[in-house]
Amino acid sequence: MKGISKNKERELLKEANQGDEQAYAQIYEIYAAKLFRFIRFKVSSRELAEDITQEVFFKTWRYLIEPENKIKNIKAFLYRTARNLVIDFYIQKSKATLSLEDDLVSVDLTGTDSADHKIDVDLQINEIKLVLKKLSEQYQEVIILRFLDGLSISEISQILDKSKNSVYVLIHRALKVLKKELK
Amino acid sequence: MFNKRTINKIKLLAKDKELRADKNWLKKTLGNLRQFMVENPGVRKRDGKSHYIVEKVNLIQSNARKSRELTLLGLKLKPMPIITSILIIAILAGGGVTTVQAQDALPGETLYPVKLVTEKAQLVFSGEEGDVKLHAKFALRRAKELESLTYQIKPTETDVELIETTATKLKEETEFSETGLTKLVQRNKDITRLALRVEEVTNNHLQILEGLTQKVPVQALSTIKKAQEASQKGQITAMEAIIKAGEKGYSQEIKPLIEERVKVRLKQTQGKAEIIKGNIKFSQGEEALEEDKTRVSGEPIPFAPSARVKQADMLIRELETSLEKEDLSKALEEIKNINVIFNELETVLPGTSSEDDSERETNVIPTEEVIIVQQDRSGLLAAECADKSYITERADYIIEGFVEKVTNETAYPFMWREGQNYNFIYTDLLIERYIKGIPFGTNRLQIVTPDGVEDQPIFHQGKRVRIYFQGTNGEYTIVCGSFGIQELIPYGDDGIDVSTNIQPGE
Repeated sequence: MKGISKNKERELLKEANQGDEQAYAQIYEIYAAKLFRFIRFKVSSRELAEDITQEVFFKTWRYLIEPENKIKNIKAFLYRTARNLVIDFYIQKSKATLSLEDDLVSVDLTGTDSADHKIDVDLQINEIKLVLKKLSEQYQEVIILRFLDGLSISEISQILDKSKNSVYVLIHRALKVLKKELK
Repeated sequence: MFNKRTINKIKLLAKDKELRADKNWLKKTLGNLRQFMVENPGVRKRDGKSHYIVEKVNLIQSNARKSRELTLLGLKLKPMPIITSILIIAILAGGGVTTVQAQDALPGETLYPVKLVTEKAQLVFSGEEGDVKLHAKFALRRAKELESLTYQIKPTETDVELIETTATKLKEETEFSETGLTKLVQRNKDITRLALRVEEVTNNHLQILEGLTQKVPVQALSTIKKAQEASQKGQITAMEAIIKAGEKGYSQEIKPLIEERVKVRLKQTQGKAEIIKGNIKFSQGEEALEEDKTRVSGEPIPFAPSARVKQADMLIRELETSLEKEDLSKALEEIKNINVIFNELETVLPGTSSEDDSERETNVIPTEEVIIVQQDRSGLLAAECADKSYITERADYIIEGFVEKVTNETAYPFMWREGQNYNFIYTDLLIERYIKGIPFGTNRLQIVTPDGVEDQPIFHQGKRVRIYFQGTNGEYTIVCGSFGIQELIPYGDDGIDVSTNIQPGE
C-alpha cells in the first residue's frame, strides 16, 4: 500500500491506539516493506530481517493494547522498535559491527534480462552499498531513514533519540563523507 | 547540485531486489499478525468523551449481564465498600468525565484517589480470572507511577512517603494477583493464557523496579526492594502455572505464544548474565569467576555468586538447546531456575541490593556515579592527538567498558514528546576493567557530551569501548575528544582486540 495521506495516517493511528485490529493491519500494509528494507540493511540474512520485522509489529501491538500507552507517531515508533530489536540481536550475538558485507557481492551479470541499463543500475546499487558500508553505523542510519525511507528530521530525531539539530548535523556530515567516497 | 546526485543514487537502493520484501512473506506475516491480534485483543481505550460513552455503555451492559448471571445462579455480588457503590452509581449517572481525567493522576494529586476507587469498581464485576489480570495490571500501573514519581520530583519527605506508599500498593497488587493465580492453578483450571499475561506484566514492572533501585531516595529503598521481591515471586508463580499447564500439552494456539516468550526471556537472561558477571568481575576481580568467594560485606552468604552465575550460564546453554528441540516445558523450567538464581544474586551483589541504609553504605561499590563532562571546547584536538602514546600519557585513567545506554533526555523518559531539543548526550558505561588509574568506588560512569558539536565522541549503545580520560577532584574530561575513545570488539578475549577508532565528530 502506497501514498497514504497524513490525515489518513492520523486516523489509522487514532484507531490503532484504541486497539483496533483492522487499523493496525493497515498500518502493517503501509510500513512492513519499508521496515523490512531498513532492517535488511542491518542484518546479514533475509530470514533474520523477516523475523525481526514481524517481531516489530508484534511488539508494537503489545505496546498499543496496554491501556496506559499511546503512540504519537507510529512511523517513528516502528522504526525505533526495529532499531532496538536489531541492537538487541547484536548484543545477543556479540557481533562487532552491523554489517552489509554479506549482501555486497550479489550483482548478477549473467541473468537473462541483463540489459545494459539493468547492469548499469545494478552496478550503481552495488557501488552505493559499498560506499554506505564504509560509513559509520549512525551515518548509514540517517542516510537510509532520510533519503530512502523519506522520514522527517523530527521522526529521525525520535528514532535515534537525538535533538533535531543533532540529526541535521549528522545528515550533513554523512552526506559530506558519502560525496567524498563517491568521487 | 552534487547533493542531489548523491541523494538520487541513494534512492536507487529502492530498486535493489535484495532489500525488497517478498510479497508472499508480507502476506503470510499479515496473517500471523492478525492471528496474534486475535490472541492478544486490544481493549478500547479511553479517548475523550466519545470513548467514555462507549465505556459507560459497556459497563452498563456488563453490569446487566453480570447481574442476570449472578441472580440466575443464586449468587451474590462481591461485597464492596459504600464509596465504591456510590462511585459506580455516579459513573452511570454521568459523572464519568472526572474518572476519565483521574486515570492519568499520580499519587499525591487530587484525582488520584478517584483513580484507585475506579480500579476497585472494576474489581467488583471482574470474576476470578479477571481479578488476577486486573491486579497484575494495577501493579504495573503502580510501577509506572513510581517511575514518574522518582524521575519527576526533587525528593522531600512527603515525596519519599508517596514513593513508599505506592511501592507498598504495588507489592499488595502483585500479591493479590499471585494468590488468585495460585488458587486457579490448584483448581486445575486452564489458565495458560492468563498466566502468560501475568508473567509478562510482572516482568515489565520488575524491569521498572530494577531501574528504580538505583534512583530512588535511599530512605525508600527497602520498600522498593520488598515490592521487587514480591514481583520476583509473582513472576516465578506465573511461570510455574505455565509449566503446570504444559503437563497436559499446550494447544496449537498457545504453543507459538510460549515459544515467543521463551525466546524473549532467553535474550533477557543472556543480557542480565553479562551485567552480573561484569559486577562480579569489578567487585571481586576477574578471578572471582574462576573460584568461589562467599563473603559480601563481611557476612557469610549461603552460596558463592561466581558459582551461581556459572550455573546460570550453564542453564542458559541448556535453555538454548531446549528451545532448539522445541521442548517448551523444559525451557520454561530453565528460565524459572535462572530467574531464581538472578534474584538470589541481586540480594547479595554490590550495587543491586541491601536491606538497610547502613548495609548499603558498606557495600563494595557505592552508588555514586563518576561523571565525565565534555564542555563545548573541552578535549580540543591538538596535533599530538594523532599519536596514541601522547593520549596514553596524558590520560589519568584508561578504562574499558560496555555502553549500556545512550540518551539525550534528562527528565522522565517519555519517548514521544515532540518539539523538544536537548543540549547534551548522556552515556552510561558499565566499567569492565581498568588499564590505567586507581579504580573508582563504582562500576559505572556517566559521560556527558555536548550534542551536535564537532569533534566530540559519539557512543553507541551495546558497544564496548576504551576511554582515555583525565581529571582530578571529581572533574573529568576525555583526552583529545573523539580520539580519546576506541571501539572494542564486544566481549572479545578480555577486550584486548581493538577493532576501530571512533571517528572524530561521528
